[in-house]
Order: sequence, then C-alpha cells, then structure tokens
Amino acid sequence: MRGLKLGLALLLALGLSLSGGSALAADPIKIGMTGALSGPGSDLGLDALHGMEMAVKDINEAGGINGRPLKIISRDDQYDPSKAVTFAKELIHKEKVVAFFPSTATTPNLASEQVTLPGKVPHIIAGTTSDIVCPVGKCDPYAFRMAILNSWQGVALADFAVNKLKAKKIALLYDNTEYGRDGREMLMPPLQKLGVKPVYEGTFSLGDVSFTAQVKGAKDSGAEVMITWSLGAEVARIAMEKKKQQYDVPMLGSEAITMANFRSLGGAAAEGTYIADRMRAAYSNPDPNVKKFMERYLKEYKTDPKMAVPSWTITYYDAVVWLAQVLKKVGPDRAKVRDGLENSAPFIGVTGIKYAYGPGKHNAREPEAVAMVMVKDGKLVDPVIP
Amino acid sequence: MSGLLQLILGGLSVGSIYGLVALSYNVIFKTTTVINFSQGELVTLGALCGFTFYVTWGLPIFVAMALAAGVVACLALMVERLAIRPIKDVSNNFVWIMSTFGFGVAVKHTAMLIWGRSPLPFAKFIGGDEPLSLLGALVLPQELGIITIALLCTGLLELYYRKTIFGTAVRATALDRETAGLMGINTKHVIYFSFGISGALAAICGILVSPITFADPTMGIVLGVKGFVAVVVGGLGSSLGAVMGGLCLGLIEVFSATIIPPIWQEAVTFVVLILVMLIKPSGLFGRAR
Repeated sequence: MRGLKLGLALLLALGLSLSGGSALAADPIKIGMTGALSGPGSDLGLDALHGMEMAVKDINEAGGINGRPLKIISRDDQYDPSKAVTFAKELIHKEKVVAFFPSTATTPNLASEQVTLPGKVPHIIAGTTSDIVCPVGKCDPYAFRMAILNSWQGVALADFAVNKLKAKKIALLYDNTEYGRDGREMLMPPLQKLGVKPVYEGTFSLGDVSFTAQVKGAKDSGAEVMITWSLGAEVARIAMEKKKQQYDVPMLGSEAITMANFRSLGGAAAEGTYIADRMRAAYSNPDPNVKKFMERYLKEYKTDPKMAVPSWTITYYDAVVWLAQVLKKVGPDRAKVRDGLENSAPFIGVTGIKYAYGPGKHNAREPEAVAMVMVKDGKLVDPVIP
Repeated sequence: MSGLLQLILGGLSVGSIYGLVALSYNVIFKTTTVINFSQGELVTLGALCGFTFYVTWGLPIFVAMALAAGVVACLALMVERLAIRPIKDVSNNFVWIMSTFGFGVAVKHTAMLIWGRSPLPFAKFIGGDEPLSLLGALVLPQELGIITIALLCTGLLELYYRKTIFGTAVRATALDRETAGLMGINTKHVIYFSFGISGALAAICGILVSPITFADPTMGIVLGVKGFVAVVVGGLGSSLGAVMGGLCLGLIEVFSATIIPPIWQEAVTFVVLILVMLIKPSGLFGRAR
C-alpha cells in the first residue's frame, strides 16, 4: 500500500514537471468568454468558440503576446441569464481576464454586461446583434462590437421584402426574448419608412411546441411575406407549420437562423428562406481568403460541409487577432486595452472584412455589411428572386 | 369553421403531449405523494433513446418505442432508489424536491455528453410531411397519432387501475400505504412498478413529440413545466384530470395566442394555474384531501 502511494506521488510529480515544459512557459494572458454552448442558439455559440480557438492557436504558434501565450477560458451559459452573470463575474473577478467576450446570445449578454461593464473590463461583443446591447452612439466606453446590428438587418429585410419581393402585406413573428423584441423594434421604422404596417404580429417563447395559432394568424391576415426574428429550431418549427398549413409565401429571417439547425431540422420547409447575414454567403463567395478559411474550419471541426456557415467563426477569429495586436502594443492592462482598441487603426480581418473603432464609435462595422443569403438545397447561397 | 377546427386540432395535439407528461407525473404521485421533478428529463431521454433506436439504428418505430420505454423505465427506478427512497426513509420533509431535480440535471448533462448539445431532426413516423384535410383544417397524420396514442395510454392505464388485481393494489397503496402493507400488499413493488410505468409513459411522450419539436437535450424544461401545470390544474392524483388538464392547457395556449395581445401570452399558463389554485385548490378533477 505504501509503495503504491509512493508510486502515485512520483507519477504526479513527473506529470507536473512535464506539463510545465511547453514552449511558452510564461504565465498565460487570459481572455474570457461565455456563450450559449448548449441549448437554444448553441450552433452559433460553438461556432464562436471555434473561431476563438483557431485564432489563439495561430497566435500562440507565432510566439504569443510578446512571449506569453494567450489562453481562452470559456463557460457554457446555456442561454441562461443567471448563469451568464455568475460566469461573467467568475471570469472577471476570479480569473482576472484582461478582456471579456460576453454571451453569444442577447438575453444572457444583456444580463451579464449590466453587472460587469461597471468593472471596467473591455467587453468584445462579436456575436450578439441586438442594438440594445451596444446602441449606436450610446455604447458603454468599455463595450466594443464586431457584429452587425439588428437595426441594419431590419433595414435590409424591410427593403428586400418591399422592394425585391414586392410585398405590401407583411406578417411578423418574433420570440419574446430580448433578441426577438429588439428585432421587432428595429424592423418597424424601416417598414414605416417604406409605407408598410405589418398586418399581423405573433410572438412565442423559445421551446414552444405549437405554432398553429401564429401561423394561422399570419395566413388569415393575407400577408404576402412572413418575417421572423428568432432562433434556428423555433423558426424551423414555424417553417414546418407554415408548410403544413399550405401557406405558401416567402419567409425572411434575421441572422440567427443562419445557424445550421434551422436547415437540418427544417429540411424541405426551410428551403427558399431569405436571411440577413453579416457577410456574403461563403458558398457563393469566390474570394480565395474565404475559401481558405472555410477549408480549415471544416478540417478542424469536422462540421458537415453543407451545414457549415463560417460567418460567426470568422468574426470571433478576427476579434481575437485584433485584440492580440492591441495586447502586443499596450500590454495586458484592461484600461490600456480599452484605449488601444478605441484608437487602433482600422483592422482588416482574415477574409478581408474591415473593422474600425473610434472615440464614440464602438460598432466596428457599417450598415452596408449586411448581405442577404438564401437557403438552397440545405446550403446558404446568394439570394435568387423568383 | 375550418379555421376554428384548425386551432382546436392544434390545441389538442399539443395538449395531448402535456397530458401525457402530466399522466407520468401523476402515476408516481398517486402511489408516493412525491412529484418527480426530473420527469421532464425522462421525457428528453425517451426522445433521445428513440432517436438512436429509430433514426440511427433504423429499428421499426414500435420496437424503438418499446426499447426506449424500457431504458427510461429503468432510469425512473433509479430515481426512486437514489433520489427518493434514501431521503423518504430518513425524514418526512421535502428534500425530494431538490434530489429529484438534481437527478434531472445529472441526466440532462449526461445526455448532452452522449447525444451532443443541439436538437436532432426526427422524421415523422406516422404518415409523412403531407397534411390531411379534415373538414378544411390541415393536420399532420403525426398530430392525429399523438392525440390517439395519448388517449389510448390514458384508457389503458385507467383500465389497469380499475380492472386488474395489480391496479387494486396500487389504489390501496395510494390510499394508505401502511394498511395496504398490513393487508399483504408488497407496497415496495407497487411503488417500483409505478416508477417504471411513469418512465415508460415519459419515453413514449418524448418520442411522439420529437417529430414536431425535434429531439433536443433541453426540451425537458418546457415539457416538464407544462406537464406539471397540467397535472396541478387537472388535479393531482387523478389520471383523467391529468389528461384533461393537458388538453385544456393546450387549447388555452393556442386560443390565447390568437386572442390575447402578444405581450401577455407568456403569462397565460400561469394565470390559469393561479386561478385554478384560488378557485379549486384540488384541481379541476381532483378530490379535496
């Protein structure tokens, strides 16, 4: 027995000495991330984490931040605001991360940033698109957004429905989370500008089983187009119910339904849906940089190539690379990183996307960034108007 | 008219699901006066096992259903053995609320490790994607199947309770466990059996709902809560009440979504629950204790 204990102790000591022997032995610089890595929205949450992992790998292989490795500490908030708050506090106060990527989903992001933004840690919002999280011109000095905004998607969707699809009657279906409600608020002004008032509005909760009433309401209102603002599985269920009720009008949706499960679950019912995305559909994009990134993403994460959409992975990759550039320049100090990001020169991402911050400008992208994509044969491609 | 029927059918099919979950709560409550707060996760596990047996392995649906029911029934027995019995014997308090809930959390996270975190597509196994036209209302064969199977399960369970000697033993145990034991009924077996049946019902429910909601590791939260509301509204202890509670809840949800302004919809379920609790605390079909 004593021999066994001694052996174990020896093994442990050996293990400890081995683990300390990697190339970058210095103390890592930690960045924190919480995301909906399970539950609703998990497709996008995992895409986000993968983008960060790819970037950290590249940065560390190239020598890290002035010799110190970069390390992600990630937590799965399961789309739950209370978990997001707990994890955000843990990452910021206990792990002392130098920059924090708040949740990939609106509700948990909003809940945690109210608690953690006053703590003066740079928050990099690369996923969430809801305006309310970092409003244009009124964003917290410590919040920086790499993603597109709901208001920009609202303009694109309204324009597409009214000017391209020639619809005069529009039905809105949105979930009752902050994401769905923010989307509705952002969609109304551009619709009004085009002289259109929705003929039907229906809401639902995430995880709802029945969409009979909402789809029937839209159908009875005679709407010629349905615009949805919710997540993949829910909109897939709406699409299936719509198909069942033989309500044959074009469906449009916000960026969140670029997530794979909208297409894998919705199947035939998801075909032909138009979506406002943060970049042109990767499958239709001949840019060699996009192709190269896509190939690596598929190879390292073995995602079904048909289902894979690299747009969130690209944004998170870019966000970490940009952050690393700033860290190299100013060192791992929260206030200096904030100033560094705000005053940094415009950044060109791995696929050529341009991001720029400035004093009072904490949304790095421009409204023109929004691109419409379409579901065809289970893939996202450039839209075709019938 | 066809519009009204469309809503009624929609409400009945979702209500049958709530009713089945409610029934599975009730089977356990009837014999032990315990509410198993991991019931939603048992439904989830049924759906995910069904996914493996039916979609991945390609077994016939009834075989898949029976196998999944078996697996989940075993797990339900574990709930009794691990989360309820050790605590019930120690003291007469309500620790089982937390222990059954905790068991559910463990089940959910284990399921996520096995089946992943995303919802899985589950093909419709009754009919196809083409809806039937019923007096102008469009309904999927799967939805009609859900309603039929839910009613069938309730009927069989009631028959079992009323007409068989085992059923009599269950009712005796429910009425007074100690006296039933003195009368020579092995109450431990009766309780085991109830958990098994409850697990099997949960599994069947999970498989039935999957083609409509997909097999999702997190589906148990919503179904667990809705089933709980249904069983309380219907009246704890009554099988008929559980199913009627489910159907009422389904219909109320669908109709309220057409009548009530969007912002109030989420509150409807719970307003109904509170109203029933105020007016008839024993539930619509429950007997006052």
